[in-house]
Amino acid sequence: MKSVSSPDIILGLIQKIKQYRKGYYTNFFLDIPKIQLWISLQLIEYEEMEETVFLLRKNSGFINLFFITTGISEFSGDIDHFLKKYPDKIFVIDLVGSFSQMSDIQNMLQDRGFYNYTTLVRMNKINSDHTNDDYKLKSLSYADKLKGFQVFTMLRDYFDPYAEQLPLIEEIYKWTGDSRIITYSDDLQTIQGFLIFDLTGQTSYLRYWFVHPEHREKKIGSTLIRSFFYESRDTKRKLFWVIESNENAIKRYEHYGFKREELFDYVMINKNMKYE
Amino acid sequence: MNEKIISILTELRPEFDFTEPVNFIESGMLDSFDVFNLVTSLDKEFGISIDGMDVLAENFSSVEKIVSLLHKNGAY
Repeated sequence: MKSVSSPDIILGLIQKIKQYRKGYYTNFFLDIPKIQLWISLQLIEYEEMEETVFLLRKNSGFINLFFITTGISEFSGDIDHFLKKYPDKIFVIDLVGSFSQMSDIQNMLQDRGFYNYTTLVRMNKINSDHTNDDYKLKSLSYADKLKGFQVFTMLRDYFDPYAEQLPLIEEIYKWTGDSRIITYSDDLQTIQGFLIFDLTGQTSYLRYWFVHPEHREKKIGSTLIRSFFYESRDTKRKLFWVIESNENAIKRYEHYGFKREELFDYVMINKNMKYE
Repeated sequence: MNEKIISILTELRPEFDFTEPVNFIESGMLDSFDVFNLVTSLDKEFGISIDGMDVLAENFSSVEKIVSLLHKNGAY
């Protein structure tokens, strides 16, 4: 594996695959600020095979594996060689698309020792109503750095690292600076729940929404989601990814007006494990 | 062709007005995942197969960009 020292290296690798002029198939979406952060923390490496480039994003105990290739048949040969080279590593591959688009590659990966760890489905809520209620309650506040660190710890303690793509502390601190983390706290010190969101033009993304188990059934979750609706009142759609098997969560989101899309994130892992 | 593209975009994301002169990507009307679904619809509607090398967000930022992409991939 070689280390990625600048985004230009990745652009060069993409160009190389394109130059084969045979096709272009990938699970990698170029997000320059995120890549720059990974580079600065030495978290990203790459490996070139025949007609596939693998990008490896290191996590603690496993690696998120991205690929850029000319096609599924070429990819199947290249990943065979790649996996033989690193037999002891745990790789997680996210495949995003509809069921029909992803079934061939899922089958190919299953033949090579990958398991479907879990599936996430995207849900959306289209604005039909405009909330002008200002949810500036005393117990709600934008996280500062200190609270950001508490949020970071809770994400590590309660969220699944394979399925949820947990943010780095540097990303959390950036979101605190951008007022993208709302926390709920009765005593203004201990966080009982939080919500992380993002805004891009007319679309808002609900990234994480969490209430501590000891503080559930107190309407903290609904207070947080209403604050999100207020924050994103000028957008037309709200998006959120949820674990498809989590029926209770899906019912809760449906209650707030979210609807399922035919867009899935299949989380594959080369170890016989299942999301619980 | 423009009207057909606007109709496909509207079917995909009915909440947005694709006749607005804005960058569909920067304005949050389409994201990378929407582009995946859009490619499938365009392939089907125009009987073509858009080259994977062209599936880049910047090629879907306006109706005009999508028209050039379709022409490049053999649609008339």
